[in-house]
Amino acid sequence: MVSIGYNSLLVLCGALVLGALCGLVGSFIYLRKNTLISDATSHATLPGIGIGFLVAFALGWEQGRHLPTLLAGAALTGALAAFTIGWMQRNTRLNNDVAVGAVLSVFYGAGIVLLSIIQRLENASQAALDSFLLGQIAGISIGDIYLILILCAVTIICTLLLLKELTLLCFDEEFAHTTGMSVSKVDIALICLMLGVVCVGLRMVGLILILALLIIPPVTARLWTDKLSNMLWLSSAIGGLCALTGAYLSASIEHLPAGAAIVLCAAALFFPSALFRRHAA
Amino acid sequence: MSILPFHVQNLSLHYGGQSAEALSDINWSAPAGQLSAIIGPNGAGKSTLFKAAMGLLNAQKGQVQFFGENLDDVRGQVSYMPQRTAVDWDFPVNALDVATMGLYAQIGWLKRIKRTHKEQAMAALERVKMADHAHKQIGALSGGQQQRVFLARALAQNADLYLMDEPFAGIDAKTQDLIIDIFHALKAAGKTVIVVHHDLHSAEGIFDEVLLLNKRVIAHGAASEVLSETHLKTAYSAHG
Repeated sequence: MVSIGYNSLLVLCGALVLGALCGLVGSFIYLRKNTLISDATSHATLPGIGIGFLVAFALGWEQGRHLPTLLAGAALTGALAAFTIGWMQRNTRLNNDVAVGAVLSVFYGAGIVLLSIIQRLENASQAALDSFLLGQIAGISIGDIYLILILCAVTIICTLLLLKELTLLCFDEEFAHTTGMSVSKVDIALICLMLGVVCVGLRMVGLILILALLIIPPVTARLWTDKLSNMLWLSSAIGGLCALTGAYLSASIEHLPAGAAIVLCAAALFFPSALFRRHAA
Repeated sequence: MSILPFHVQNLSLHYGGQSAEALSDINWSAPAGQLSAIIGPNGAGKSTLFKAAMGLLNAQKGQVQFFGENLDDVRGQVSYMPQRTAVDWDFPVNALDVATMGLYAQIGWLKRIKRTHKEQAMAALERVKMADHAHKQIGALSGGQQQRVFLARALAQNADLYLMDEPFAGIDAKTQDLIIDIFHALKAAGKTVIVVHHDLHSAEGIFDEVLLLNKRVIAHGAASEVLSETHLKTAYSAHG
């Protein structure tokens, strides 16, 4: 048996918790039929990562690779994108998919431009920014893992506190409104949770494929159960298992991006489930 | 209760981008402790009136008062049952979960559901004879059973005023009889029930008061009077 050091164990633990979080929050994204906005939001974190890098670089923090600053930047532009989509839906006559498509491509394009500018900076360790696209396990620091674990814990606690409200929002928004629940606040809370998950997952899974980890575990879980509580557990377990396996593979095989490995693990569970459980969901 | 449970004053509403009014200067009060029906052709604004009253749509003019107050001050006394088709019945919850949703506001936001709440929800399911199906996923229920689960959720709210949108749509005869029994029980307990209803023929036998609507008030009053031929002709002719 291969012995695993404390650091590697911590990284795998981080992947497990992150995957479980994705499965939990992703369940509500799926039930709210809100996957498109999640895709736009995750892609829209790229310019924020660039801005965060430039800020950290200017301040001389870890040659720009200061994870808290990068994630703060990511959260900022991700939130801006989600807000812009909401605004376009309310104030223009554009269809939802048009609004999402426009915002996703504009923000992502801006991010790519920023990255190309960063590549011309001297002494900047811009290579590390590529890992935010597809995720990377190698080179992740212990400090980063602690940050990821803490953010995961906060997001999980918030989601569990809002379980009842999120369920009602997803099932019957109009009824929720008539009982006095602030539908818009709970909706924003769900967007914030999604944004939190996306940001936490950037380093390990990457912004391009994080959506898959938000969607595939709940869809797979839904195929096996009709009960929400079971679906939440199962989705979290599937997410955790896929992230753990994918992270292990990425750490063991050189140049294998973690995000891609994780998504393939999820697909390996999804397709047989879809085949065997065709009548369900 | 002498205060009017449901009082509509000068309510007018048109949907964004449309010039024609969906509701035009509606004035009506539901009699307290009685069963009322809102009747009219498709597109007459029956559901729109409920949605405007419950704050789901914004009326451009007028207001609706509940027990002499604004809705926000008496939400716990008002229960709204949307049309059955308004939700996705594939959602992974069972009948008991849905009935429990009627108690969420009472439980309090961010607070956990306790065993007593589940018992209350179960009691509501028993009232609509759905206790045996409490743990079935809602998609596995028939149309009538789904309607009864919705009714159980409304009953769990234990309100004084019930607004129900098309409770008789697409249900079996057994469910229809059961819902009528529940209406009578609610009336006997002093509750006020207002129902959007599509079937003219059954209305007179069930309801005390009728509001005949076709974007404006055509007639209102005792069911037997309102459902006269002249009124119906006016309501169901091209533009009312």
